Amino acid sequence: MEAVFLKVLNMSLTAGYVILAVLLVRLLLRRAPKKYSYALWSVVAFRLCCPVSFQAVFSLLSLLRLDRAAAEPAMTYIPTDIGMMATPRVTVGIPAVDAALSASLPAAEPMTSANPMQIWIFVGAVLWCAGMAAMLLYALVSYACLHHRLRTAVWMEGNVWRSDRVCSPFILGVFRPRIYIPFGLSDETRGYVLAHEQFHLRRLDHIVRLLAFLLLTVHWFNPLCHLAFSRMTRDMEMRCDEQVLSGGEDRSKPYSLSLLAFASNRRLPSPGPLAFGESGVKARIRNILCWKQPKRWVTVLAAVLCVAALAVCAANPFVEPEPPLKEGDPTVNFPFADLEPGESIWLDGAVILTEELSDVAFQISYEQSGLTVDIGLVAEDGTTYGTSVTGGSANQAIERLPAGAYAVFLRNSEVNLQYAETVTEPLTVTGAIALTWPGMDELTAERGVAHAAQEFLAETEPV
Amino acid sequence: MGQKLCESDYRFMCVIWDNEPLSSRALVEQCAARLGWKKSTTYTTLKKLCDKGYAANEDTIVRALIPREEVQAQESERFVERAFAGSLPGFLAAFLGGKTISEQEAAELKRLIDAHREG
Repeated sequence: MEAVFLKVLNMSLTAGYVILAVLLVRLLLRRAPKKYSYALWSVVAFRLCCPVSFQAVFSLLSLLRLDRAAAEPAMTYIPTDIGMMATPRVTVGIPAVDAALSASLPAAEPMTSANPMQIWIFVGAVLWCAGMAAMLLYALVSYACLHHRLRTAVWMEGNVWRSDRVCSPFILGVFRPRIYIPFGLSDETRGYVLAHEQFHLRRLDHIVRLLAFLLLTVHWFNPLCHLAFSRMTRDMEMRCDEQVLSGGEDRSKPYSLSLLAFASNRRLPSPGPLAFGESGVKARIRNILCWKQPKRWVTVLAAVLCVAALAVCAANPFVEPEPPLKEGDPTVNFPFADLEPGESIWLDGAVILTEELSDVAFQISYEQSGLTVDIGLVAEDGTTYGTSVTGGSANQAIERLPAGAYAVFLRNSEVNLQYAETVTEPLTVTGAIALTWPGMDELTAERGVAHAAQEFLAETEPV
Repeated sequence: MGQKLCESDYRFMCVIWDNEPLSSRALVEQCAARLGWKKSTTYTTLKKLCDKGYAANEDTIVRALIPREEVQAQESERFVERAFAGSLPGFLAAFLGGKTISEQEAAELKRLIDAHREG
């Protein structure tokens, strides 16, 4: 359950960025036919339910400052193993926020049975489930009440029913949807209303809305999703309004008047989330009165903008593939053996960089795959660049290393102590690590030469 | 009696008026065909209207206790009261609007008015 919860959190964060982008593009599309604004919401739905996506350089998320690991194959701002991390870290892509968030997370406590972070995630997951249950219950109860209220509705024709217990037209049902309208509509109004509602049904809007509501249920904790749901519904309505308007000579005035009639008639509660009727009447009437048959160039421009926005929002940032290790790349191998939990060693030799390097690749493998190993490079001024590895092997990179001499340390993580009872293998680690700088011939990796650096650093025990 | 019939109740009463006397089973069938109602809805509404005194259900034979004309009279009286402050001439003027009526219709109206004239 916690794993699913973390996945949903990550999807919700991506979708949050995408919703903001869609709201922005909608502003540009204000004067364009509403079907383009409506189409934009499909990418939000995609982001809310699909954790993985293709990679492209034009991705919206390239604007974020993310770690290499955060972008593939699914966007992962919150690592799924955050509960096990010695110092939990999140990256939402905005450096200041990242620092503040990560600082507020509780660190692992080696001597207790569970990390504080694990407990927080468990509590979060329970709250998440409770919220979903509440949303579903609310929807089902309001559906049942509405259904009960409509049992005396009188059949008119086809799928159209009339009831004196509804105040505005709406659609209810999934497989055999019915249109409910109030009694006493004039023929003209009824014509417009039915044209509007039948268009909803032809486009399966009642099902789209139901699915959107289910997504909202899963992401109930995200306020941007609630905003997106209401805006999506409004775009859906306006698209149908425009369809009715384009059906003949100038209908905008009588049509907006018939909408207004329902808006001013608010004696009865409006239908719940599983039924849908008119919403945002004020904005809709404004849209109807401003509506005119769109010009060709406006349509083309809107379509291009819409497709471009969809692509930008759907793509994950492009991550350059790891440079393959080549024969002849400078590589230093460091074997190590029998490291006790909490014990760290300085590796024999040092790394000297003659210029700043964006990536130092390292390959580590050790025998005890259940344990965590911290590796780090310490510069002469004491700055540490490091990371943690679990699972017995890794092929990773340490990023943005300035020029200089570095000593390399390795530590059998203290985190391992707390799993002493569950891990069957010995708690000491044994293995080897290789550091590589692909394609950089002028760099030197000299063994022994850097002993000076190591001595210099020997006083400062690695953190 | 005296409470207003809502639209769906009125449609239901129309089914009874058109077919009375009829068995309650026939009523269920008629309501399913004409109103699209479920059996339970028909029985609930029948019970409600029996309690209000509009209809009666004796030995599964349903009949109306109040004739259609009386309900129509009540409805129109209520309507004239609300929309025209009870003014019959006001209602007639609005109803006729710009229309003309035939000689025959005029004669019928005159007969009606004479029949209801006071004193």
